[in-house]
Amino acid sequence: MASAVAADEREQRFEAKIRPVLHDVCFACHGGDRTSAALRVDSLEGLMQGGDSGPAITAGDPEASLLIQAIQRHPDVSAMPPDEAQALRPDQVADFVAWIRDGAVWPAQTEQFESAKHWAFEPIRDVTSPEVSDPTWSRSTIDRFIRTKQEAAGVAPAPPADRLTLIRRATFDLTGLPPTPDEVAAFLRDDAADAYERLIKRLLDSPAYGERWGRHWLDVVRYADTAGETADYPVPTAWRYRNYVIDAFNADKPYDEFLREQIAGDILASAGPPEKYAERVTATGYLAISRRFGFDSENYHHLTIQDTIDTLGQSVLGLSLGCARCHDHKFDPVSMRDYYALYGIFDSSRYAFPGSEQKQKIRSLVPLVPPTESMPQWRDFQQRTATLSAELSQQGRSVTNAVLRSLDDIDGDFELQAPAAGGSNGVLVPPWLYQGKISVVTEAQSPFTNVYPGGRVGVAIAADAGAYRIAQAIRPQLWRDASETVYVNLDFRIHGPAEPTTGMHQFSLGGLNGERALDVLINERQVLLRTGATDEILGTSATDAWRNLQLKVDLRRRVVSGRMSALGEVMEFAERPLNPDWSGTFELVVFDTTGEPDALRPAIEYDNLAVQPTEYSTAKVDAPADEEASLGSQNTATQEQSTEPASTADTQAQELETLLTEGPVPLAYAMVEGTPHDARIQFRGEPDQLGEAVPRGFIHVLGHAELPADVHGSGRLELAQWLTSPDHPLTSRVMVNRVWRYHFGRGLVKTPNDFGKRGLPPTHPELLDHLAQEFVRSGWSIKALHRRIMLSATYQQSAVDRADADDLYVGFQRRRLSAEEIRDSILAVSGELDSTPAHGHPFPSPTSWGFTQHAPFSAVYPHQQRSVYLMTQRLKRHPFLALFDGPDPNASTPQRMETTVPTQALFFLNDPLVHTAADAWAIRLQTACAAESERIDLAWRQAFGRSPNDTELSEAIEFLKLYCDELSATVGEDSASRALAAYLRTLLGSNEFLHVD
Amino acid sequence: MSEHCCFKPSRRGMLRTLVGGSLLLPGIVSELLAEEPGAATDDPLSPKQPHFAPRAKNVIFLYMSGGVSHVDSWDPKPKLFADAGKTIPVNEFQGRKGDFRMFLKRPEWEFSPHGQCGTEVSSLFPRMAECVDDLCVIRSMKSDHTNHYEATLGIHTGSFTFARPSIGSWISYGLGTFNRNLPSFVVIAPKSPYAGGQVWGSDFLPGSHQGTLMAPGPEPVANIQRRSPTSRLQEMELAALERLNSRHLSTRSHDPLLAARIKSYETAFGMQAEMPELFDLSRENDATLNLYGLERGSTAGFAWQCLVARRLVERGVRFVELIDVGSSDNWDAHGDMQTHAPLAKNVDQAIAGLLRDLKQRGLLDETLVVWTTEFGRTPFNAAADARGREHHHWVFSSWLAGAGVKPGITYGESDDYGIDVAKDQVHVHDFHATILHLMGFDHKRLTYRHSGRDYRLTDVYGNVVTPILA
Repeated sequence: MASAVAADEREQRFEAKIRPVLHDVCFACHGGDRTSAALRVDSLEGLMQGGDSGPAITAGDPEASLLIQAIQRHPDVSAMPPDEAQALRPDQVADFVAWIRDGAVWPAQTEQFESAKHWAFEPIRDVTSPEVSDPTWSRSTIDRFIRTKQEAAGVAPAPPADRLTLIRRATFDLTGLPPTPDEVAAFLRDDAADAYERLIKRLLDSPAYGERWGRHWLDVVRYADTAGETADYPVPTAWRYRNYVIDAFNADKPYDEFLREQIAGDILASAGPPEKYAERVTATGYLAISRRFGFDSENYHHLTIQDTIDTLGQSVLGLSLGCARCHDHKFDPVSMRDYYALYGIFDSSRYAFPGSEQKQKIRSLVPLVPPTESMPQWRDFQQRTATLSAELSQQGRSVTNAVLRSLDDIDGDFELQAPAAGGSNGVLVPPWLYQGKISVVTEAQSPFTNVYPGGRVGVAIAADAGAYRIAQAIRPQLWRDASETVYVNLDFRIHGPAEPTTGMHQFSLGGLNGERALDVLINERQVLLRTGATDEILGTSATDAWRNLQLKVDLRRRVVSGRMSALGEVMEFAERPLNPDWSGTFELVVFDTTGEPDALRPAIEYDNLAVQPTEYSTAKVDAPADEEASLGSQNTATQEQSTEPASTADTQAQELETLLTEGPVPLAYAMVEGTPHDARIQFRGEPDQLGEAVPRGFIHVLGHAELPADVHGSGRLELAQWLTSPDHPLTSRVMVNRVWRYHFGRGLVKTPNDFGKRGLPPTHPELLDHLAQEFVRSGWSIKALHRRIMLSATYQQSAVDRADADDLYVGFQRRRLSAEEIRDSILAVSGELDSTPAHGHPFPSPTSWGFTQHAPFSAVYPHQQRSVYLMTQRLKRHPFLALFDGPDPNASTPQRMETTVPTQALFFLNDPLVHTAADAWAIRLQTACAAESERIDLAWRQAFGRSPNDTELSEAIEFLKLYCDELSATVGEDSASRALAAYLRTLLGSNEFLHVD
Repeated sequence: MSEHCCFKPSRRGMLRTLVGGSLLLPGIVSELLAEEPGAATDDPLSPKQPHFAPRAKNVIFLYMSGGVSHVDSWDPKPKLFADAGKTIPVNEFQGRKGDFRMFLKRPEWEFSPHGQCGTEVSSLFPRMAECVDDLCVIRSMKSDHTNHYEATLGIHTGSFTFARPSIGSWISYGLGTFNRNLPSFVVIAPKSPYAGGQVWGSDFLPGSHQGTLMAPGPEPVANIQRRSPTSRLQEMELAALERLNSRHLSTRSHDPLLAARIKSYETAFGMQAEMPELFDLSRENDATLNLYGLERGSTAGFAWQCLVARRLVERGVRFVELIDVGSSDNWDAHGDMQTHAPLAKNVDQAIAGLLRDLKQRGLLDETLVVWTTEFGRTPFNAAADARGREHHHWVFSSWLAGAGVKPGITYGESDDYGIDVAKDQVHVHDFHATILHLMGFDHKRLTYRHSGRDYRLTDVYGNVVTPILA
């Protein structure tokens, strides 16, 4: 044991002291593809094997290790790092000496863990329920497991709870609301043997059930209505996912299907049936609500993917996967390779983009109708909004900055890409993929505006850039059954090199497997079309002048025609056949090169790429040669046409506003497939410190982790299937443990989000496996699991203190109401609750958004509906939810805390919500009952489910009298209802109201 | 310690009759709590011992939002004055890598030595300069990020990306508090800072450790104003509530959590009285107000924040953070360095007054005063005639004063132009480790288990800056 601890310390020391230095100081020359002097320092093997000078280290012998001599700057060896100014500090050198002396431990735990057994990774066992010596108590298999342990410990179960306690407990548990006096009375009257069973069924059938249990899942998936980046942009469509979750619980959607829809719903949706399309697309909000980071959140997309992987790991697998972003997980058998295998899956998917301070345009929201329906509507929408914007701006109206972009918009105007200014690096961001030296710059801005309005940036490739590749998947794919003709637009400009070039630039369209329908080849002399073995000249090239290329592809007849335009000239070309090897589907656009990788090519700039099934207007070429003037003249020309009066402008502005707010079709904050590719390892989690690519896949230690070789998409569907395989060791265990935890206040595994080595082992491992197995056998039915648990004698015991609640389940653990239950109960008993389900929030129109980190979005929207519908912000927590330990909207919350702080007491004393509710409640009671004692009796039955006893009643009456006297002495008016309201506030603040026995 | 911890009902006799016995039973509840072995630990704010004898009992954390220019305030750079207008190569500018030629910009305030120690301070802070014999100025601070949001999060939580518990929450978690009528961690800010409430959030630590935000105005804390028409009426309500609760408690084996909630009403009642008293500066004498530069009756400006901070510390609040100002109209002087001038005027005398006031009351011996910002500002600019400066996290200046800190010294150096750390770097993690050390904590041992891992303020980094410890 002692040596194990020491090993752990050595590993931690390596992570803290050695790896960072190797990485920061040595890696630039001796890591990844860079192997200066043939030495690599990114693995122990690399160091032991050494380079040109021999092994770099000898474990256990620092004096003999070249590496030590090098960092000590010993005169006999090449000092490292070579630059004197970067020499390691003496304490760093000492760390290396100690590290080698202690055996040069290099934590690579994966293998070690893979051989080590951990209970949670073992298959779920077929367990039979034990025999107990006290069979009379047990009502179910659960009870036999619980009782056996109790018997072994020599303790007896607590007596059963009384029926009032039971209905109050079950009602809060399943609906988050108190039982009404009528419900209590009916249950207490019901002498039938199955009365309790029918109670459970009634509660499970109530729509309030989904609002309560959906909230549990929303905790686990850190649901929020804002994005969480520096300005906390609102996500007006997030509510659809929230309601999907509530509906799924109400419908008892099988848990495996629930997971598959959340991870791959968009893929499942396209397979039909049509009536499930919207619901399945909406489900992927699970992934889309991943947190966004930074001022330009696409620059931090790697952190958003980490958030996805973290939440997926915790919510479904009960594993912390996020640590493996920077290093092999220290405590669980999750390697960096596993992490980047998953990373590739999500990097191959497209996240809806909510807008950010840097890029205020909303993009990639997913239509809730199939592409065949949504695409024509998008076209109309884009055309209409463009027309309206143009007309309004020509009338001197300010046109909104916020723009909704369609899903199939390939963003080839590059305006949504990181611009050169303001903290970005001028690179392309997903869904674009690229390798090589390219940049996004303002200079590369085409003057043609036939497809997109004039923008700010384009892509530039320098003459000495070498080989590069830029690619993006076309979503949805274009093929002949969906559209007969595809139109392509691309602008480019060549800058002539000093000497003749040997390589060319190439633009291609084709399928995801790499087969190409056509290539357009460009250098400073000519533009060629390659559709098979032969190349045909489309026209001559010209340096320093923009050209517009338009292609028209007939997918049925497999032919292409088109035109190339420059200012002042048009070159048309007639139909020619496409590459015969091409599959017939357009799925990918690629920009890359021909010739040797380091061949000389002219510099080139690209702008205004567009691929769609409807035609574009042709580029205007009859303008003066001067590009600036050309743009100016176009504007003047249209300006002359616009003579519309101001009132029309108001109508137009209103129409534009409505269009941009509502979109062309119902949209969801959801996912679609992106450009499939494998991700490269990011050393220390830095996306610019890349290692080798890792094939997409799952967690290896859990088995069957490889993605099939012929996988066509991102791999999300396969991931979802892998996770929901009936014999997956974690998925069912983790979920039954959650459900158990919400019922009993503690899990069988007390760390519901951590089933790994750092988590706690189950208190009743056989029971956990039994429940998991029955869960899968029941068709992953959560409601069946509720029934199983709630019908047990274990659940129906009387209550004990939280402090006394133990692992033997003697007694039921008393609990405080959750934040939502407190608010909902106050509203419910006072008659103020609006129990209709809510939809979206009254966010300001996206057209008015300009949130920044200086002035981030911030709002609280009060309503009378259930608390699950309160607008939840990431940067600024809802004040009520924060006060009563609501969920963390930034990270998975497996269990709520129950704090007791004086500011909560202040809420009950002074908050307007409590006072307003009590006032309304008092008036309702006065209307309902004539006698004071009846009012008190009804109030007690509403708040506590029971009538007051004689002492309690007389105390109440005495309070009302004294309070009235005091009121009339000091205040004077309407004292009876004010006194009653004051009394009701004491009920709302009481422990009996706020706790469930 | 103050005595505002129990009810002082004016009509005790009447209420006694009402509840048929002792009122509100504070003593009984306390006894109950004491009897329960687990009770004290169930109260997350009960006073706790740190790892070793602390040098400081409280912290006042003065945070200047937006990025104060180090080369215009605490870090004299004669060579920057001399070479202003010349260009230098820089390989990163505002988060972008590349080869840039930048123009050195002349500081707009002159430096001169002050006090016995002779520490140089610019004329931007003339009053704080008079206090240099009490300060330890650190000129080698380092942050990890060039953007406000991340750097602000970093200086408060040690994490530059993800929400983590704030330093004040960690100290509350480690030490608890002595005065249950007040929160352990208080933030006074007129406006929301960058990164919002995450700056004082407790994140995964228990919620009672989160900072309580107070804002100048009629209700500095939510629900602190009694809504019942009179105090007597509220006392009657509380008495009735207590009656309900004690009967409920008595049939539930005196569950300590139920008892704790009963207790919380006492504290809440106390807070209603103590909070207005806390903010009632009418009994501060003119000399004190003058020290801070606060006009009688005014609640505006940093002077009010500073005086309230002293009063909070006097009442046993562990960690008081004052934010100047928020995420806008702050020290973020991109356009013109002269925007520092009115901001400096707002804080300079107030902070100097706070230091003097703490000292003359003997509180500086047990209070650590921290002055910082999220990063400095560039000594150079892209244009020769730029009037402002950009964000600069490679080096900046902060200072510490009070309990356990060597007074009248400077620590660390930046290079000739104030571009990078030249000597004795103090990274934000080191800064945090040092503050925790002064509070009696080994920053590596003040941990909290969350999500399968022991988290700490300094993550896996941080070294205590021992040379500045007294």
